[in-house]
Amino acid sequence: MLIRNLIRAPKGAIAKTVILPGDPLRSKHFAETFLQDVHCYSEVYGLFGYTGTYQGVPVSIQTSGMGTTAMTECAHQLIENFGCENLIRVGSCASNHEKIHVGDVILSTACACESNCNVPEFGNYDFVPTGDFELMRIAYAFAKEVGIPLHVGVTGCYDLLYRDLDEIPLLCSEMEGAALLSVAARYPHVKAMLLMTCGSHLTRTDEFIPAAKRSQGMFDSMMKLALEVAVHRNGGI
Amino acid sequence: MGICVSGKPEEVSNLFLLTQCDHDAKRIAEELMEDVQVFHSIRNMCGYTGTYRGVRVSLQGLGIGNVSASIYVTELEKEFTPACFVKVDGCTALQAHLQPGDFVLAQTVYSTSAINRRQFRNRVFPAAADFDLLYQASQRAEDAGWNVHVGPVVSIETRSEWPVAQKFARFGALALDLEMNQVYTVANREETPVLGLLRVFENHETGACYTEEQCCATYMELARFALDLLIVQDATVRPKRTTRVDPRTENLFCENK
Repeated sequence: MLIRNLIRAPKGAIAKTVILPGDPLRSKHFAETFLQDVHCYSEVYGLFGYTGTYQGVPVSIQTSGMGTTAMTECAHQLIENFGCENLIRVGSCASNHEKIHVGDVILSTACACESNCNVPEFGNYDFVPTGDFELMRIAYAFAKEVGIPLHVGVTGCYDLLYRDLDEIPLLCSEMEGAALLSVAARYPHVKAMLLMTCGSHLTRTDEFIPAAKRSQGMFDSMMKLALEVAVHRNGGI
Repeated sequence: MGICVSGKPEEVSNLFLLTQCDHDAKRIAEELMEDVQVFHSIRNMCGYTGTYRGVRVSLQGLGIGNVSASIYVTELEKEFTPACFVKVDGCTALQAHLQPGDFVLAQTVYSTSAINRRQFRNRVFPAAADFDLLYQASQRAEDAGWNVHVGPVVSIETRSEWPVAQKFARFGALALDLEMNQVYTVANREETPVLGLLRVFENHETGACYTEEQCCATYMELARFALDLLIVQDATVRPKRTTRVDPRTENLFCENK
């Protein structure tokens, strides 16, 4: 059965710019920490959605849940049902690279996707889910300006959390990014971008922090970049 | 010695400008560079090294198509120690709002080829530009007053793939070329910064196109832009990451070079 109403909210309840964490508790933390005049517009499936303002600009935070299916549904409904135009994923990821450490922020140029989500359209042709350059350059310039260390490059979008290491040279891996970029690519007016914070390391066990012990505050730098993009885009509601 | 590329390490720069055909490489060498030496002439696809504004740069043609480009870029990686690749070419625009003469900076490259599927075990390899190079190029192009577009392009294999190219266009592809996918793939695999600079010579949607003379003139402007970008890049050889060697793919990714 398809998920008809993953997000239940009245028309006009969601801003044109939506920031998408995977974890509802991270959404709550971001909403309470960064937004003014904030209210929760949806709690369906426990995937909290909030709208508020940041520096006077309307911004929404919508939890996507985990995996490409959840993200595909979420992004599709935000665009089709609520007219959202700027979609920014803020997720956690696992580092695939020695230079990326727990707590570092990563901006994805493009995704290596292992799901079949683009096979119906492209079969055996190579479609590369790509971040929107306009959004990326805002985040990149702001990170340089305020001194937030940022790694930029290609990232992986996996279907399996527990798996062998990948042979494709990637900065890090997560589980929803390719779905967001692939859905956004269908709509010329929609822009999407992936930001991630490294939560664990695939090759260095000394950096492992159990999820239950991670502070939501370790994701705040990434959120500041996402909010800066939202301010620049200022899409309103 | 490579099958298609040869030369002594001291004969080449670590900064490489790549073209599709040898004729263009030769023209750039003769018209824009000084103290040019030919470091190989295998298959009449010569490699050139010279100076541009006092900085050593090497030039190499890649031939037509992903297969040829893959061979040349792989051999440049094997024979030498490239620190940066910039490829220049004309392209066919797939979006109506692109005009002849506009700049297209290839952020990522879609492909109709199966060339990556075998080596990456049926996965799509995300062939992508180095973001810092891309950012610098977009700033420079805008400052110079060019119309610049940044986004995905698609490398096709045959003319019969027009319908597929148009489908890619509906998913954001700005333009099409023939080699960029493999230029990016090989450079990405070896972690060498890479960027493709394209100039629109014709628009498939609107039918607008440049004359042969306009193509030649604007190509040289593009080459000059690329050289100006290339010479400010770091030419020192950076250590490559120690990559896990997957026994299933043998030595696909090299250890520290």
